[in-house]
Amino acid sequence: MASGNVTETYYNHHDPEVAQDPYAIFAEVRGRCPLGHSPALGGFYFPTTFDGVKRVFSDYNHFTSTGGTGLPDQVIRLLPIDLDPPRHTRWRRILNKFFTVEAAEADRGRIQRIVDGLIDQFIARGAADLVGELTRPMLALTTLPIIGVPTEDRLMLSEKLLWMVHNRMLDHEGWLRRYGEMSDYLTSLVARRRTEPPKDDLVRCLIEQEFEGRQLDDFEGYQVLMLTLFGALDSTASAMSGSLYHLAQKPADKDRLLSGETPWEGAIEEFLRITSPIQALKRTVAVPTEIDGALLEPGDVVLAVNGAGNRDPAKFPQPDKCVIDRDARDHLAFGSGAHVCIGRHFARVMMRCCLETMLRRAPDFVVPGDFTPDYTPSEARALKTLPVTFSPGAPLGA
Amino acid sequence: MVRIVYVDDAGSRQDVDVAPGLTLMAAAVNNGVVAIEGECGGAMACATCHLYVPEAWRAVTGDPSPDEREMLECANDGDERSRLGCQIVVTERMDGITVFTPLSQR
Repeated sequence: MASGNVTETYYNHHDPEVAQDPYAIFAEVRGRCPLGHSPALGGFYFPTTFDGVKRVFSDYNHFTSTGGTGLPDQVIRLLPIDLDPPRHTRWRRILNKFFTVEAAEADRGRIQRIVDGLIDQFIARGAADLVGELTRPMLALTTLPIIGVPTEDRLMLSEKLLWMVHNRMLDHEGWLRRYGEMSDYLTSLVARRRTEPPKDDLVRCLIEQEFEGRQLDDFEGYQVLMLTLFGALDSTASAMSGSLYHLAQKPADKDRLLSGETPWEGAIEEFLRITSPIQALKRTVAVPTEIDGALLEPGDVVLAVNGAGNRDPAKFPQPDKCVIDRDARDHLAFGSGAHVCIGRHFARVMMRCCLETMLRRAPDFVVPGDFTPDYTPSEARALKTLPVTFSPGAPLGA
Repeated sequence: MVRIVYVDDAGSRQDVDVAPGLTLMAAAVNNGVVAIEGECGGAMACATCHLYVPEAWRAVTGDPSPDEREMLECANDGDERSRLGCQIVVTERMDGITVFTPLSQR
């Protein structure tokens, strides 16, 4: 247990009610002693300042990932996120080659075609659910070929992975069953690919490269692919849906982006800050350390809440307002430190393609007046649906 | 302000003037020295701010810690001059220092 200043309060990222507005809890804790402690999920601490969250992400000597990064624990160890540097660094440097800024830029044409193809499906209708019909399928169609998972399995994988992310506290048996199914699917995929002609994707890298001086077995391939799929099927869709929701309500911001008055590059960083699709990841205290005036002991669980750091008014004035021309580049939406999101360059390209294309092809899209946003609980917070209406247009492919 | 000179693998130099207190990694990233990446933001966790400090400046920059040496094993083309830019804080005494950047951080 910690000694010193702690604000005791209930916060649980898996609670569907909390997920609707976790920011009120963070603001209250930040205004008292900025280190929170919640009795939920076995008890954990959570800093609420930008500096506190950033330190937990950066200082791996005190806040280790080797105790797992999900709270509660995942069924398997996910690789390489559950490692600390320098072991993690050796894995990450190999995987990074697939996700460089150059690779993301080179993929822009394919991503644009995916966006246009999806918009073609609903543009003549004048109405759509942008989560179900645009952001989620767009993300999966973009990422699955890079990973090396057959796109024909997209719907099955999306259903399983999204269920696993958002429902693991509600149906434990169902969660374990899906883990077993994913284990079978991904270990067989890796095994099959060993005998098939090589394709240039992440699975090939996992089969051919040496990690820490040896090749991975099928199960280790599954441990990496599971993590990659968690990252590849949900979070960027959440960032895009949240951005579209903002734009649907703020026509002036649409105009500023369309006219070039506000550069896209800066606006995208602000959208990432305000949406914070990954809300929180776990670390475990490795050696006694002080944070925000409290002394934590080895074994204490700390939740690094990206969403809390991103709403610290000392770092981002009026933090609950989406201000598309502010300088938000320091945000923690991708985390920070060793485990900073490996897919962040692709995420930025996808966001730009998606948002810009919607503004160009359906510029007057609005959400119905009776729409109440409903967010998923868990480490990943996302809009479940985003119904919009707009003036119908013609499909490009027609 | 302190003048830092970064020289890349092809011999091109970039002079940047920075305030003391920044790291050589941040000074490079903030001033468009693209041969330094700094992926982890300065947490000594990625080895993508690898640079070479000439012998003549070692007394001013100091030597790497054991943790930094371990991380340097992940860097490309390391040698006895290798340092991580995020672990060197710019001081007045470094005015005019020239550091060299490797062919690739990846």
